[in-house]
Amino acid sequence: METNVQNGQPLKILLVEDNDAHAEMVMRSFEDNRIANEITHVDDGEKALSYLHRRGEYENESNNSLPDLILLDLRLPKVDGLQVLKEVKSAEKLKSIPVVILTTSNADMDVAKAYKFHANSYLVKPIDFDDFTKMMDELGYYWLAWNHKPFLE
Amino acid sequence: MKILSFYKKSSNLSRLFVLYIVLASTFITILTSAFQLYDIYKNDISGIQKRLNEIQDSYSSNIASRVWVANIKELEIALNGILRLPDIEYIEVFEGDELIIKKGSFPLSDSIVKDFSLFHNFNKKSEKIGRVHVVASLSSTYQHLIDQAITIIVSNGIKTFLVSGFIIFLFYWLVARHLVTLANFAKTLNLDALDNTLILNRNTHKEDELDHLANTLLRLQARLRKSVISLEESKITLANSEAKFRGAIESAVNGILIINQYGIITMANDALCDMTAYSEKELMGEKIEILVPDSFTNHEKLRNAYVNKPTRRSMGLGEVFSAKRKDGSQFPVEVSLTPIELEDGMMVSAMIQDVTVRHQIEEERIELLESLTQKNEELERFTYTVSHDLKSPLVTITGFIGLLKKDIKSGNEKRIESDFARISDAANTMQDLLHDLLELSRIGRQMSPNKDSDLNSIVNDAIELLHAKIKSNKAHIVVEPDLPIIYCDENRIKEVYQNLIENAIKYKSENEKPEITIGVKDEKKNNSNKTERVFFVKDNGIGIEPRYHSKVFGLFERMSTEKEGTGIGLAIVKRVVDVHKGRVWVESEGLGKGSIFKFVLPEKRKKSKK
Repeated sequence: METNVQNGQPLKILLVEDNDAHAEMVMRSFEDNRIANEITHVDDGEKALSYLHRRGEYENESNNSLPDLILLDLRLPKVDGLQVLKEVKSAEKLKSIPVVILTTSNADMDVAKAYKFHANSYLVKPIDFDDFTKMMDELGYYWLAWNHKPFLE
Repeated sequence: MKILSFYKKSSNLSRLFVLYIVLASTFITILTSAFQLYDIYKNDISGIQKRLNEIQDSYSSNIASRVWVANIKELEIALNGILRLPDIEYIEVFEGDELIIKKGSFPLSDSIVKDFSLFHNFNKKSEKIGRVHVVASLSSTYQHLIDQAITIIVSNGIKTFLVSGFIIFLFYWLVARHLVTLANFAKTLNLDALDNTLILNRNTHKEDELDHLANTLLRLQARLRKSVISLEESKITLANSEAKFRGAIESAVNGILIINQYGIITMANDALCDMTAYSEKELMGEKIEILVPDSFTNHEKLRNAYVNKPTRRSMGLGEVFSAKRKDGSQFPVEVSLTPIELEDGMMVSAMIQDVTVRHQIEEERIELLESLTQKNEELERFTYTVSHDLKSPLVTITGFIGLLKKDIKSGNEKRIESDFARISDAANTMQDLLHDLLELSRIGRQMSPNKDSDLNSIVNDAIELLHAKIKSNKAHIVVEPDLPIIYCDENRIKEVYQNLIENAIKYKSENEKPEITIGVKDEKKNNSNKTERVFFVKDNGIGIEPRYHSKVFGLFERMSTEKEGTGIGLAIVKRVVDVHKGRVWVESEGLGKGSIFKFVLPEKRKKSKK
């Protein structure tokens, strides 16, 4: 597969990650496996919500460029990941966007809360690099290639 | 004489008895005497009448013939003869209607008069020729009566009074003396002397009413004696039970009160007196409201309602009231009520437990529980944070080692360099995190004891330590003069100021030079009129939106990924203030409005004299 296009649209990912290094790791993985056409990276929860709601600095983003997938870290400055998840899943416009939690935390509470707030998947960042790469590959294939998403207006 | 003495000392009854006997005797004497005298009078009168009739019988023809022949002399002789008869006092003779002779004198006293006609037989024919008028005096009759009366009355009197005396004697002998004995016995029949015997001095063997009466009295005495004995016994039982009851009540740990239906205290035990600092004497007769705080205004109403509809109300229903001591101070109590139904009304027994200590323990328990819960949450959060935040650089290190290998293989030198930088940064971050964690864990473990410390020097030391940063950021710090002496661990409070000042510089406004004010002011406490002393560090930095005000104090929480640091500073501030049992918070109207970090520390506890 050279590029992935569904419904004639390029596939887009919103990466919400406060750790620059981790963000770079994720982006390089996607670069290598050439799954996503476009990754937008924001480094706190507030920016993530502004981006999704097209407000503040993201006011001018076009409406049909909503992401096909949200990769969400839990521990974020200002608005934390669970809060972002909650708001996404309660916003009529956003709730059908798959949200995959990608975090270092494997605390039971976090997992439970994430699913309670309708996370679509919960992934713990592996410490082993090969595992990390593999997870990113499969994540990309699963959500962007195999998985069918609803048509968004 | 016994009879006299009976009369003298005895009751109205005997006096009346004698009086009536005397009256009756007198009446009888008078009556019989009157009858006898009347009889005599009648006899005398009829004797006179008889005599007058005899005069008519024997003298009428004699007088008639002398009148016929008009022989006055003879007539006079005849009349004189008549006058010599007893009681005859006066005599007149009429021929036709003409008085021809009169003899004697007309009596002055009462008299009886007799008239009879004079007839003369002529030619075998009786012809009325005149009449005679005879007057008999009653004076001798009266004299006779008077003579007789004295004799009769005296003799009758003696007779009657002898009989009366005899009756009185009989009455005394047969009845009265025994009545006296009985009466005296009955009089002495009281609870102190029940051993007197009753013997009637009589010879009769047949039982009569007096014996019945005596026996009844004796039986009554026996019954009384029995009652007295049982009364004594029940008195002892009562006293014993009273002593037991009292002992039980006095040995009770709880205060016990008994009040009557009007709320008057009739009993209070030692425990209650100890509790309220009153003596039992002072409480007796007082209304129960003496022990109720004045603020409990409707106690009397409630009490009356309870008396009208009493129910047992046990302790431990969780209802806690306040009671008032003699000095007016109050203490929490639990009260159980038990109605005591009496023959003549009701009383209420109240058991009162001083729950001050229990309350304190309960409050301490709740406090402890809260602090434990808080500690637990803190610990959980801490563990979670640590595992997450420490794992993060580890993922970075292994990740970039992997990427580095790839980049070395492909010979991308630019990337190799940045990969190394990432690895080295992550290692440094990890070191910082570990250092900060250690620092945080020291707070609370390594504390110097609180002492009075000069806040001026604490703040100056903190500024001194940040000298380089202040200078490079051109920050201007204003310290209000005359900061107070505070009771704290001064090195930890220095850390608080250090972190707050450092934060204020770190989150400075982009356009303005940092302006930081440090001071103290009194502010109103939430939900009360009391004020508290608030320490503050005010800046003109970027400010914090209200929704993040509590989040900023979290461990490794950062408001921006662009600023250096691990996010430990405010966590340390909070930890130090918490350990001092104070409170810390931030006030800021939002972005661009600057922030004021505030904290309060508890005042130094005054040493109690105990």
